Amino acid sequence: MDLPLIDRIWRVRGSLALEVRRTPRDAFARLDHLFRAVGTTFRIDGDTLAFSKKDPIAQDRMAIFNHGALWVEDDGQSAELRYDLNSPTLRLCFFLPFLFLGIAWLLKESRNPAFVFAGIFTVLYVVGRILEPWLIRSAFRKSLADAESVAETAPV
Amino acid sequence: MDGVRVGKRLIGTQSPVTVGWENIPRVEGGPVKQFVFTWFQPAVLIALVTFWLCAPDSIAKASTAIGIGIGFKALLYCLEWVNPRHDSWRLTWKELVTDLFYVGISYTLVKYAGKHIGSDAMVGAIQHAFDWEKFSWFKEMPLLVQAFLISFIFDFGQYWMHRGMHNWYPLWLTHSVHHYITQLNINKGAVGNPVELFLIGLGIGGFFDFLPRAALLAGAIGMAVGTYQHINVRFNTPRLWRFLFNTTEHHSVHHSQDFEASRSNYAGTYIFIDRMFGTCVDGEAELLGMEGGRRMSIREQMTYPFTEAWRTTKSAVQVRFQPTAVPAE
Repeated sequence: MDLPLIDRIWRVRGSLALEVRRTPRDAFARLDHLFRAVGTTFRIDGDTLAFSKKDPIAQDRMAIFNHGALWVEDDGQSAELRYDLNSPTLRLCFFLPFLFLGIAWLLKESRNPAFVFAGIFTVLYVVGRILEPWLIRSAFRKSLADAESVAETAPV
Repeated sequence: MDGVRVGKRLIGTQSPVTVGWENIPRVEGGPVKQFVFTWFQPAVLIALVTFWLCAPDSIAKASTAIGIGIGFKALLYCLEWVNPRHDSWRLTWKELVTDLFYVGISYTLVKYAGKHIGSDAMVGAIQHAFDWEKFSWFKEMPLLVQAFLISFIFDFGQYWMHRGMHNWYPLWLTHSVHHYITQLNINKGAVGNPVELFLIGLGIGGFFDFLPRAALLAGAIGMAVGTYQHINVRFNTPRLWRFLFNTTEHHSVHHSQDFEASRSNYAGTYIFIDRMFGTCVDGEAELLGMEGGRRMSIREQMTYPFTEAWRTTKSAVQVRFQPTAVPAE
């Protein structure tokens, strides 16, 4: 299902412009360690790497994403790594304030804890939606910048 | 792995467990850091006990206890950040979201269930049927003794409920979910199936509401000791403290991937209850969880006790009514 505006709640898209052109194989080799994690499977098909995760461990740097794709676009002049990642955790966190507002409405007594948690998850969602794309972009950048400089485009 | 013999049991044959206090790493750093992380736990306990013994009635109330609890938790977050026990247990945004989901459910739905069909409802019924004259001797004891007895009675009940969860399959189904956690931090005590959270909350703590100061003091003792069970902080826990009280070291053994180790250290506050019944193992573990450390999603944690119960029941029925045919000789 294509939901280009709504899915920004839980999808992270972005790109890194590679100043030194590299083949997809080379770029994915540099990112390989991010996908060598428990519960992660990935497949490289031409210029695209597709991955999926099941029950990733806490310290997996891509733990909030359950599937996604990375690909290298090369127009002959420059190369760019683009990515599109799906995060059920962001989606869960977005809906949790509504869940706790629902609980407050349902229980009709001692509602303050439910309101407090609705507020906490609202703040957590905003923090996570900014922090996690920044962290994953940083991880990609560091991996790719190992022996080259990488210009970046902010994720959306 | 050879494991280490503790009593009649071999601990650490399936997953690494450090047994014995002398083998546990110490806090690294200068003398100030050493001092803080050696005496923090006793200092907080003494401060809280002193406060609840001396505070005037105008501030010695439940709302103050809630405020102290929130401030204490915020302080412990800072300690986890500054001096983690294991980097592999460090808090991430995803872990915080999932942990707080369970904390939120505990403070709302589970609390509501406890009030209407759990401890609070049962305690209310008992209190109405109770002859209070027979209980006057309890009120005449020193306040600190009252508080200790309240927390001890509550923890004694929790010990047997917890041990029962590890030894009786229907209860284990609800509790097993909590054992899928792969790291400890101060919110992990709330992570589990809501049915278990309801069951583990059953007790007679609320029975002592008629002794508000003693009940608040007992709650403070429980908080100043029990909170450390799931904390990710490296302490040089003092000898007397670790002999009497449950610690994150003890509880990490309980959460170890090693089966024998997980069948130890059941108490929530007073580890000497485990010492009394021969279930205490002094030590620590880093690799936690079940099935080799598989992390369970929230969805699976919500359904696991029921799907497992269905699978087991179905299997038992099939064995009962469709026994495997034995070929004729």
